[in-house]
Amino acid sequence: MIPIIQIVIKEKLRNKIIYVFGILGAILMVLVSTGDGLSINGIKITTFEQRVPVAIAMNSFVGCLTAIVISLQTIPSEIERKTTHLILSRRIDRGKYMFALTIGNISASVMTMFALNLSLIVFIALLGRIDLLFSVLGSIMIMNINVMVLSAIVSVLSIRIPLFLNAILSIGIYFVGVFHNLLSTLSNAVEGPSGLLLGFILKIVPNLSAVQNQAAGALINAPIDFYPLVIQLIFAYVAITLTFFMFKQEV
Amino acid sequence: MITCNNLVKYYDGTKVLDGLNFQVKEGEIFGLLGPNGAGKTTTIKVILGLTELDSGEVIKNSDIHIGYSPETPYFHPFLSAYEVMLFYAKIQKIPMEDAIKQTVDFLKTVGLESEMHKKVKKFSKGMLQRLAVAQALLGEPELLILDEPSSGLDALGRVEMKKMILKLKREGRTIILNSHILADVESVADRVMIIHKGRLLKTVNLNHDDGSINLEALFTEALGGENS
Repeated sequence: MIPIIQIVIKEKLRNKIIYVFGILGAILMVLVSTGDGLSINGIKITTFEQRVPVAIAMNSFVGCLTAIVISLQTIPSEIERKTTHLILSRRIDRGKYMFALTIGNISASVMTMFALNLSLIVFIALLGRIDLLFSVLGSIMIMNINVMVLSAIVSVLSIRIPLFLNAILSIGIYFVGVFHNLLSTLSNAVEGPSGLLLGFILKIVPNLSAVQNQAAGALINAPIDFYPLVIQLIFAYVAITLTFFMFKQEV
Repeated sequence: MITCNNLVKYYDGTKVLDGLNFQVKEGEIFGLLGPNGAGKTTTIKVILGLTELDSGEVIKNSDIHIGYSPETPYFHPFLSAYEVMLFYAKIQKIPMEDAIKQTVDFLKTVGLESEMHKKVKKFSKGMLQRLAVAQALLGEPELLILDEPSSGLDALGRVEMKKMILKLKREGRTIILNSHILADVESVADRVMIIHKGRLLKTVNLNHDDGSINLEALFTEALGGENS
């Protein structure tokens, strides 16, 4: 399985789209970290400490979208170009093959997320703010949980769902996940079938906002609540486990 | 080496294999002939275990290892031929030392030894086909399945491919050769099976010494009889 994981990572990290996202992310980060015109809710963001969380949030947004892009195509491409024939004719188990592709997707997504944040770390080092380094690294690592969860879910869906539909669904999952807490409040306020439906959706979509809150907390050295992080990791675990059973179709 | 008994396969309600029976013997080149949609590729998929039968069985001698060269091979373009070979050797868990030896040997067999460090993206269609055959040889399979190895090749490429198959034959390898080019099959195969609409029409023993068999005539006759 390791050669398959390695080849997915190699292929993905050569994908031009990733570099486009990477450059975009770095530009956004530079603008956020150095610009003076940034304000949130009318409050001017002036200090570097105030700008760092915004930069991480931006990078997390770009990183999650990149994870979706990376994970959408890997498995459909393997089936389309019939690499599956060459692999499976060597008596490689179908489940293990899909698992390896998914792990490749997750690894490539996490690496991209780190690459996106590398410029932020360089900035911190250049500004001599080593005191912020550990909290920023901790925050980035927590944010990577979201990248992992998204990549795993998109990968497993790509085994069965057509590319375009999966792209829409994945973006939907991302936004529901990011606004999970808000939508949760809304579902409590809404009654009837709509409320039930919203409640159900919130149960099956990972709470990405809970992870973001912990990542934000890590930046200000607040104590980390591991419960929401473990829940999201369970989501990723379930998705990864499903890859063993989802690939049944004719190749 | 392989016995296929009464293979039946449906795709979306259409019968693509209709009680197909045949046997592949050790050391022979067994040609699969038939018009488009005859069920040749499905037969190969069944032997490779890529698709499940609705009924029938494939009996293989013990747990034989099969090497497969697809009709339209895809290899990661950013890899060299050497790296492609090592990748497929690794997934077969061939020990590294052996994998390197086989990689070099089989790239030599298919005439790609001087191109082994060239990126696959720079390969011509013929070179890709030869690389596909080389990767199929990894792990010394007891049976080789070559699916349209001359597909998309020019005249020179076809001649080279034919020479290569004959070389593999001299090495005593068992080969199933799927091709729609009658002349190519006729010049290398020991036996040929003609199928149409998933059914066996005829099995022909080709004796290359007396040259008395006209495969084209037999093929036309078999299909003509079927279509009439």
